[in-house]
Amino acid sequence: MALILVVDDFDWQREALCSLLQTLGHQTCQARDLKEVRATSVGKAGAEPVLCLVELVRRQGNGFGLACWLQSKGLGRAVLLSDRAELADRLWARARGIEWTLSRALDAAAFSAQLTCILQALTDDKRCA
Amino acid sequence: MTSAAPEAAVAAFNRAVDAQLSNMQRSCLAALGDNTDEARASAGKTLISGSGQLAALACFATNPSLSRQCRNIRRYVRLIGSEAGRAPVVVKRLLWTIVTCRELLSRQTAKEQLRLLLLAKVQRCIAAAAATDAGSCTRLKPRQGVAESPDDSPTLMMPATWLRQNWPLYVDVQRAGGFLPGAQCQPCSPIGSRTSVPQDLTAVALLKSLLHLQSSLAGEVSEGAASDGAAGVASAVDWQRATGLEVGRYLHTYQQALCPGHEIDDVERVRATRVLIWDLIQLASAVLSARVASSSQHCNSSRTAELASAIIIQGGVILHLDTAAGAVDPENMRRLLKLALLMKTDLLGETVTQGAEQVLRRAPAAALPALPADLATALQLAFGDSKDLNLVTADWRELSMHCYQLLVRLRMLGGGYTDSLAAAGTEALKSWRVLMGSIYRCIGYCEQLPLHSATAQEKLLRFLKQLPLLATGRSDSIVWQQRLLMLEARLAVTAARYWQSAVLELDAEQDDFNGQSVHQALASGLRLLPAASAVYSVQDDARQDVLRELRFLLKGARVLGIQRIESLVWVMIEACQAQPPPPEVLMRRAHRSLCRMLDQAAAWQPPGSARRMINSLYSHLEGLGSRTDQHRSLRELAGSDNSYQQCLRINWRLRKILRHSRDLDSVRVLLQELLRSQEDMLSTSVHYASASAAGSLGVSGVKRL
Repeated sequence: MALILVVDDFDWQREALCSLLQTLGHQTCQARDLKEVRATSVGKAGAEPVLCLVELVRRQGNGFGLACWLQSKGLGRAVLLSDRAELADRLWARARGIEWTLSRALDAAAFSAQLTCILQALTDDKRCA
Repeated sequence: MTSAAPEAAVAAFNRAVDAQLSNMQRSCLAALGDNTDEARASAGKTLISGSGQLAALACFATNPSLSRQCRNIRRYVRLIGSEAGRAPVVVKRLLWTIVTCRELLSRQTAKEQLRLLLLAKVQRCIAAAAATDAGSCTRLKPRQGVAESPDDSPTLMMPATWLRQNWPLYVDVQRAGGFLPGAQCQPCSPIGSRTSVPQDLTAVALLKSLLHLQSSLAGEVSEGAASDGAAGVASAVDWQRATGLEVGRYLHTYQQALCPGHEIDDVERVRATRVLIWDLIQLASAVLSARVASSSQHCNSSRTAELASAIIIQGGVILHLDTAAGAVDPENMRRLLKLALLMKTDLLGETVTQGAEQVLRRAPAAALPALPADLATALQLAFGDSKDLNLVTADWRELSMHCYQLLVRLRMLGGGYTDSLAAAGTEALKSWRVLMGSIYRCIGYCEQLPLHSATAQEKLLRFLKQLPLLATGRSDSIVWQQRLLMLEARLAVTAARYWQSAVLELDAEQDDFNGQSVHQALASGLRLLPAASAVYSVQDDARQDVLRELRFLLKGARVLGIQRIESLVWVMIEACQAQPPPPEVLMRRAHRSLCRMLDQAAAWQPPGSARRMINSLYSHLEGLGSRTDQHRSLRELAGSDNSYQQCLRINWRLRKILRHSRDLDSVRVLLQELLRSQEDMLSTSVHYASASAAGSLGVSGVKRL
């Protein structure tokens, strides 16, 4: 299954999300911020994540910028996590090249279904390419 | 609903407000006339109860001056309760405000003025018809081919002349009458061109039409006069009827928004649902705060209050559980609409439909259960120190962060993201999700809206202080929950109005961004600038596209008051227009800085400083512009890092901008930014100079010169 990177500086929710992803059979790698991302082995040969889930609301730094940077460095296609219920978040993310935005207002089943669709879309993209 | 119903509702509303004001006026006069404590206490009670009802009624006033004066009344009444407010001057001020409000109520509306104007015109036409030659009135049509005699008597004119002169006026009155409600101006004769009289029209036919028009325009007078004479004091029934009609109007508007003739997507559906819920919550809160139980004969007021409470809670569930997930649960929506319809029938005194009790029983549980231990601990950690919070010390960003964390945690626990389920179960967590979602939205509105009021922030802080106690499961949690949802609805409606007017400033056509906030408009309207790979091409077409987006962004930054972005964008526009254009490396740097600041603004973070970028761009522009010997010194200074030289450069820039700008208001923000950077440089230089001097003299500490 896919390697998914989760970047969030709220420890509880990062770990809870990682445990859900592991339950679904994915491999996960987690980091609080860019410094921790660099410190891990993610991105190196054989450890390239397919997706990176980036929390928008952060104590330090900016979620949009971080997601764009991770995507530009080949650390997986970025998915923004935002529970602000703001349409502008989704619109701005798309404008910045981040195609997907997910919310934890969806229950776990719906969240997983959305994730599966995203992974399927990535697979289809690769096939077309 | 007929078009006459809203007019009747407005009239009923005005009567209700006037009756309340009249009572308060009597109390004020009594307080001024009798200085005893007893008289003052009695007057005070009437004023306090009246001001609460008035404040609720003022929410529905279409006249903003009236609404403002009603709020002033409330402030004066509060002041009267304190020691300082017992002076006669405060009571006199209150009395003056009450009289002003009554005067505003009695002013004629624009429609009434139009009606009277049209009536006067029609009456003049009819009076002119009375002066026509009576013997000629029997002639049905003007004789064809026979020119009208130019020798009409000055006192007696021919019917054909009257017809020719008054036909254009008749057409104008009919067209203007289209702005009046109801069927006041239904034409009896067909309306055509105002310059040519229909061939088969006679003077008698036109006169009949005018008489019919006169009676329909004058008809409102007799109704109004009769009702004014009879009404005297408005009863609570009028107010309840007005509220009931408003509920019906909002339900009708929601229906229309969902059936626009084409399919609407989920985003539109969610937006229309949110607007309906905010409006219904406001109406329900008005019912709760302003109901006059004793005088009501037409509705079971305790059930109306129950329905109002249920609407608030059910609305909260849809706002924070359904629409937060991007969809509207049809079952929840049906329940809300049923509750609203039942409240409407109660308020209007209509026949009660069956099933009211059943719907009320199935309304979501209002009371907040106690939180499980781990969540209660997290809440205590986040808000435990909130009892010391006040408007000065509150850090809204920090509060927002705590709230967001708790909200996400509640959602993940309730949504089955973890194996552990809270002891209270998912239903209990739903109530808390609604509550925390509402708090988060309220904090967002207070933090983001430039129109936030100290009153709203105080209310929110008061609630945050109660939050750790509510986690233990208090019995009065329903009251707090309702108050919070009412506050959220009020702030949401204020925010929607603010964004509506802000978007008008942003986009003249407005249809492009109708219903969106400025953030949404910018996020959807910018295409080139947010793209990480935007290229600043030398080709004119590409540059024009970038310039167009920069100008749009400039307007947006101005509307949102983000001065740093506005300053940088202003300079980037100048750079894009410069000939030759700046090197691509420089523009890419500027673009990256801009994107970083836009990301921060989009995440509601304060954007970083752009001074270095502004200085770099100006250095290039000044290097280009200074070609003559006169400006050689400027060119030489362009590369200098000396802070004095930099200050001098900024000074020259300021002078140049002031010289060349026709509209100083448009560059005000850029000027402020440059002055601030100059000030910082100067204060740093002074600080360094003082520190050096102090060090050489062996003096510890630094004194600013």
